[in-house]
Amino acid sequence: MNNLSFATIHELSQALKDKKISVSELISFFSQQFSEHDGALKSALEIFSQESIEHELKNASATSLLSGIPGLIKDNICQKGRIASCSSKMLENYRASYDATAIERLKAVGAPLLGRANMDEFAMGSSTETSAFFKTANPWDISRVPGGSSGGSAACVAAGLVPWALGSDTGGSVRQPASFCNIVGSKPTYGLVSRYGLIAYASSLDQIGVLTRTVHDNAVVMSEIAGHDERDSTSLRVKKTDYTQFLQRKLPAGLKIGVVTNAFEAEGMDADVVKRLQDVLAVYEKSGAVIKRLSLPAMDYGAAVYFMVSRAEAASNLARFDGIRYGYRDTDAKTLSDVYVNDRSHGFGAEVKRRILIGNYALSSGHADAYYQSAKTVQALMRQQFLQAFKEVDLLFMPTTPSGAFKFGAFDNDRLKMDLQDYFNASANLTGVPALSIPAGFTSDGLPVGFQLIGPDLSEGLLFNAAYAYEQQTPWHTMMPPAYSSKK
Amino acid sequence: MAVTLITQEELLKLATLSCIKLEAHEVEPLRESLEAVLGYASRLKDIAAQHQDLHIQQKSTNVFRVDKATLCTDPLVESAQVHENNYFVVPVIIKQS
Repeated sequence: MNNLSFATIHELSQALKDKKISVSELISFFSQQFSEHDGALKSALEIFSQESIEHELKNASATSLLSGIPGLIKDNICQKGRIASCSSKMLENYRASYDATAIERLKAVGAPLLGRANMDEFAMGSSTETSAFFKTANPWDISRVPGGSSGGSAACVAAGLVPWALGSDTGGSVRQPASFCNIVGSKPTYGLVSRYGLIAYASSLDQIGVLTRTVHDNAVVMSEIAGHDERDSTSLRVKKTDYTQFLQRKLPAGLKIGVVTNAFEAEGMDADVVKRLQDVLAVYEKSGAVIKRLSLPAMDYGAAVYFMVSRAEAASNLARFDGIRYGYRDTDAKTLSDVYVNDRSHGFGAEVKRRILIGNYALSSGHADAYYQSAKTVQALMRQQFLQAFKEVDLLFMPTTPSGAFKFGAFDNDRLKMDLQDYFNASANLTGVPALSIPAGFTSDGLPVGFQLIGPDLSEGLLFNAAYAYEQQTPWHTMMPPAYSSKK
Repeated sequence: MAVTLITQEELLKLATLSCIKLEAHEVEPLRESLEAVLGYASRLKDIAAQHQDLHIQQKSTNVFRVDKATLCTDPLVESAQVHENNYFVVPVIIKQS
């Protein structure tokens, strides 16, 4: 282990076991990474005091590979007593009164939670540019975005400031930034990870996901947070699973991978990205996978479906923010109506207001059938086609993004164009199935490229296996952003 | 000529229903932005019409639990920026005569 900041969870855990380093020293080391190297990135909203982090570990049992290994948490996941702002002025001073189930489970095994990661406001965005506080940069090129909405979580892991981070994925918000930052991002099967304590954006699509530099690390963290929770009414009745047991260098014999051809023909696909993904397929083919090509026509409506379903649910979920029980409050408001209007008008940023308005339009009398109901019908068609595809192949293969990370402000004058990139990721959320984004190499400009594997419900074990088998034959996960590779 | 999907008046009504106040200079750019999204989403109508009987085959079932209070109200009330004697405070709605 030459470089502690880019060490894997397994390596750090071994160092703890061998008493080469203590948990306190690890917390101190990674906290210092943020104080010394996060200036240009701005991935964290807050790093907690060492004392308070260690206090949370008092009753933990060191039973996991993750015990003692620090991580950063996206700021829409509740950590008791800590601010949970969703990177919004609305919740700038809101302190969570309870732990999310995922947080409770991480604390139970003694994973130190270092702080809060920056994000797009209320997880609405693909670049972390909509954060009310500041923009986060991509460690591979700080003139570019890290992706979003879990951009803070992705940037800090990619830069070696911390080994793992939690994000949330409603339409690609873990996988897209993972792809932009050359790391692994997982979106579990809907219902596998409890949403209790995840501040809702679109409840039927939201899932907490994991961002790490390696597939093994991702499986370690996912193993700790997944499993049934009675406090989430949509939680699946599945037992806790150790996903690292599925990690084999070999693919299962005769594994069938379905290349989603219409995704490769989508508008705006960068030739460099296509080339990298063809290289990935060659690796899989050489490893014994059977590559099939298939089309999922309903997926071409995925972005439109996602726009309607997510905005409609966002409008409903964000109706609770009235400034009275929590959140931004205009104390000069003279009437109750003024309290509501002023708090929401000043507390929410432009993108959040835009999505609330679209959502309420889609749900309104006279438009609900044309927009919301149509979207739900096409969503059902998408799931039907995905389930049919999984009768023919074991996993689906497609790009995570059509290009490498874009420059700040690239889509300021055309939000729709940026939002249309949800096409590649939203399908897994809309159909509820699990997906992983895995590093696939770099464009000729040196920007990371990711590929996406999608499996049937609860196929996380197979997904991790297939991703691991590829990773072990390629160098991408060992490559570090040049500006951060020499730090200790 | 393209059909207008949302007018400025409709947008302002929608904003009122959403308890969001829009400044005058925000209205037209926002209307155009909504128009673009709604225009794009309009493609759903035709395909949905061909599959009207389709419903999502969900794998999940509702999870029920005993509804018991687990949080003390004090810290919840303290989350409010304006509170008094363990109550949330709002402007006076009905004045005593």
